[in-house]
Amino acid sequence: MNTDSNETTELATLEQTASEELISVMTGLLYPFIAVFGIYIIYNGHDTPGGGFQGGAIMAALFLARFIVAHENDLEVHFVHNLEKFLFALLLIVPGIFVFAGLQIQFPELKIPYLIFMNFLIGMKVALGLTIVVYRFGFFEGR
Amino acid sequence: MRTVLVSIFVALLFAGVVFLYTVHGETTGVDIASYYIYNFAADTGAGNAVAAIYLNYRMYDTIFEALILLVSIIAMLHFFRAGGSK
Repeated sequence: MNTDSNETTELATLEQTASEELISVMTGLLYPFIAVFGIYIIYNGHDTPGGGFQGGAIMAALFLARFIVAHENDLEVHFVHNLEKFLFALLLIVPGIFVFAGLQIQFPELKIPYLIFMNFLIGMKVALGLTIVVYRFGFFEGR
Repeated sequence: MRTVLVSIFVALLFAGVVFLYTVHGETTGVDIASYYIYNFAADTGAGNAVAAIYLNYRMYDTIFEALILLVSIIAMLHFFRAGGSK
């Protein structure tokens, strides 16, 4: 990240490397907790405060943590972008069938699975979108 | 010249939106609010009134909100060509 480290003294470089390694290791330890918390927020979004947008932002924090730890631009931006477009198409089709076409009146037992599925769609879409933003700004615009 | 026209158009659009927002006299009243509060569980099966509203009663709002995110990312990928973008 720091390109002019050759101008600093060796001691400062050592301290910086040590602190970066500390942050990397501690952030890496947070991966499973962030993932579990995000999935919990999305999965319980129809019953408790939370939902797709909030859980998706937390899941994007997972990729933000990976950006801090790894510093590798191995994200296939166009693949992720196409996946996001596909999720948006599903986001149009599923409520179009279930809510607007009135299927929820015929099948009232599908209401809660519909809510959970929609929250997962929105959450994945928000997470992928914010991940693209973070990676693009972090690697190309933030220098 | 084109920039000036676009600026005038955007300013007029902004003034129009603000004007429409300030002059309209529509109110929904308390009927719809009390309907949502008392019937959302039976209508949608949700335990959370916010989820019931944004995934069922106001589905258009959620769709366009997701569309805004998609469009903003398309715009960002289109305009920020700095670095080795693929």
